[in-house]
Amino acid sequence: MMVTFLSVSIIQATISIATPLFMGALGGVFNERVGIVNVGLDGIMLSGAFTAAITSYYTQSAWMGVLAALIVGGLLGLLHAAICVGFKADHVVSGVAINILASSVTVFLLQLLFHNKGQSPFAPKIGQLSNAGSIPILGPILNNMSYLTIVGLALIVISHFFLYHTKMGLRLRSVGENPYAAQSLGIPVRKYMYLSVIAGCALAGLAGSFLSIGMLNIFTKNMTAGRGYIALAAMILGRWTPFGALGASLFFGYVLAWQMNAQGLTIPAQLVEIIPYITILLVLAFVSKRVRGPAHDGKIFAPSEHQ
Amino acid sequence: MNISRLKFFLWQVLPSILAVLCALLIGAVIILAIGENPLQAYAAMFQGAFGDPSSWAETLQRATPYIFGGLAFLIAARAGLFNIGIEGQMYVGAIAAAIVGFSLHHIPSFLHVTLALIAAAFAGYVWSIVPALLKVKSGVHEVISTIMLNYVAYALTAYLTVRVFHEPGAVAQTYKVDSSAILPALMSPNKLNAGFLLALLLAIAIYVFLFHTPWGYNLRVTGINPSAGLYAGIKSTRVVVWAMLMSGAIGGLMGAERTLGIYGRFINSFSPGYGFTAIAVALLGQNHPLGIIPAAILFGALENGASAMSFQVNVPRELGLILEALIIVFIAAEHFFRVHLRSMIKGDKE
Repeated sequence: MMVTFLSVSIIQATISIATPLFMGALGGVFNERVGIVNVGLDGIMLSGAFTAAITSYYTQSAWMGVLAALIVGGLLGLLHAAICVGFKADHVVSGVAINILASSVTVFLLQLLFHNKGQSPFAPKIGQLSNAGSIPILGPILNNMSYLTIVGLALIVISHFFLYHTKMGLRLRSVGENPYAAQSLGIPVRKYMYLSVIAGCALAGLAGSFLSIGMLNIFTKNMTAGRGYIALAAMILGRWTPFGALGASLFFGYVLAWQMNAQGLTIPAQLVEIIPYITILLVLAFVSKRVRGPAHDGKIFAPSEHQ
Repeated sequence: MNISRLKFFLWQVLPSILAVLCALLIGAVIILAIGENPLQAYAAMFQGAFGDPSSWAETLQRATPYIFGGLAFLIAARAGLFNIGIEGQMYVGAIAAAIVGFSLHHIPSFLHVTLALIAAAFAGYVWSIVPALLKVKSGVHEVISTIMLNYVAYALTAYLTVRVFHEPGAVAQTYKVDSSAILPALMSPNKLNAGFLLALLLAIAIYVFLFHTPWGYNLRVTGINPSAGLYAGIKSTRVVVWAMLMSGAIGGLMGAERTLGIYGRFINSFSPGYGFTAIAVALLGQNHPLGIIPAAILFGALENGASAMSFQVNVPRELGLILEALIIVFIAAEHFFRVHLRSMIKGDKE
C-alpha cells in the first residue's frame, strides 16, 4: 500500500479535523489577546462537546446543541475570568482546575443521566453541504462540509476584521500588551478582559460541539484527546492572529489526517500516532524563539500593586 | 512550637481547609439535587474510607500515587515550572519497571526491586529532558510540550505492550514481573505495598532537600524570582533543568509503584489520570512536601469513600472526582481567600 500525501479525501479530512482546532485556537486568541492564558481550553471543549450532544439528544435539534455549547463555554469563561481577573489567581492553575472539573463532571452526568460512563446516546448532528460537487475545482472539497465549519471560517474573518479594523479591537489588543497603559487611557480593562475571555471560551465550547455533533453524532468520554492543547499550539504557531490560527490548524489537521490515512501500513499504528505530536513539538521548538505573544500574557493584572 | 510559628502554620493550612469545606458544601447541594440525603451520603463516605483497618489500607493504597505525583509536581513548581506531563513520565516509568521486572531472573529481591525502581526513575528522567531543554533553549512553554509528550508516552507504551512484550489476556498487558521484583504488600490481601513507605520517605527527603540544603534554597529562589536568583549568582537555567529532570524521575517512580506493587505487570492505559489529579493534590498541599501527605490521603479517602457510598445511596461514585475538581477550583482562588480572610480578621481594607 502506498502512502498518499494529497487526495480529495485527505483534504476533506484535513478541514474536518482542523475545524475544532481553529475554532479553539481562535478562542485562545481572544483569551491571550487580553493577557489571560487559558490551558483550560481542552476542558471547555470537552464541556461544549458534552452539552451539545445531550442538548441535541433531548431537544432533537442539533442547532440547540450548538447554542447550549456556546452558553456553557461562556459560563466556564466567566469562571476562568473571575478566578484570573477577579481573584487574581494563577492562570494555569485555574485552567488545570477547569480541565479536571470538566472531565469529572461530564463522566458524572453521563452516569447519572444514562447509566453509562463511556458515551451518550446518539443525537442529531449538524447538517452538511450537499450537491456542491458541481462547482468547479472547489466542488469536491466543499461537498459534505459541515455547516459548522462554514460558521467557523466566517468567525475567523469576522474576528480578523474586529481585532484589526475596529477601535474596540485595537483597545482589546492594547489590554493584553499593557493593561496599565490601557487603563490610564480610560479603557475599562477588566470589562475587556471578562468579555474577551467569555467570548473566547464560548468559541472553545463551539469547537467542542463540532467534535460531538459536527464530526460525529455522539459524545464519548474524554473525546477531546488533547485537542484543546493542540489548539493552543496552533494559536502560538499562528502568532496569536485569527488567520494564523486557521493556517496553523490546517497544517496540524493535515498531519493528523495523513496519520489516519497511514494507519494500516507496515508501520505499527501506535507508532504512526506519535507523528503528529512530535511534529507539533518540533514546530514549536523551531518557532517559539521567533514569535512573541502579547506582552502581558499570563501576568496578573493588579493596578493597586503596580507602581 | 511558639505562637508565631503556630500562626504561620495556621495561615498556611487555612485556605486548604476552607477549599475542602467549600467543595463539600457544593457537593452536598449536588447530592440534594439528586434527591439523596447529603449527611447520610457523607457518613457512608467517611465510613467507607476510614471505617476499619481494611478501608484504611485501601485509602492509603489509593493515596500512594498521589504522594509520588504531588512530590513530582511540587519540585518543578518550586522552581517555577508547571509540569503537567507527570502522567506521561509515570507511564514510561511504569513500563521501564515492568521490563526490568520480567527481564532479570534469579537475583535477590531487594536488588531486583531496586534496579526496577532505578530504571523507572531513569525513564521518567529521560522523558523530561526534552521539555526541560525546550523550555530553556527555545522558550516552549512546558505545559504544551509535556502534554504533547503525554500522548507520545501513551502511544509508545501501547506499542510496547501490544507489539513487543504482549501477553494475551482480557486487557492489553505485558508479561508478569518475577516475584522477586514485587513490592511487598503491607496489609495483604489489600494491595497497599512498600511503595507507600517509599513515598513517605521521599516526602521527608524532599522536605530536607528543599528547606535544609543550599541546592533546595537555590531552587526555591529561582522559582520565586529568577532574576533575583541571577544576582545572587544562581544559574537559573541549570536549576530549572534539574528541577524538571527530578520531577520526571519522581513521576517515573510513581509508575513503578503501580507496576511492582499493584498490577505485577504493565497494563495499557492503566491510569485514570493519576498524573493530573496529582497536580490538584500538590496545590491542596500548598506545594509543601509534608502538606502533600494529608492532601493525598484526603484524595484517596474521597475516591475510596465515594466508591463505598455508591453502594449505599443512589449517588454515582464520580461524586468523589467532582469533589476533587471543586477543591482545586477553590484552591485556584486561594489568593482571594488569603486577602479577604486577612482583611476580615484584621478588620482593615484590602
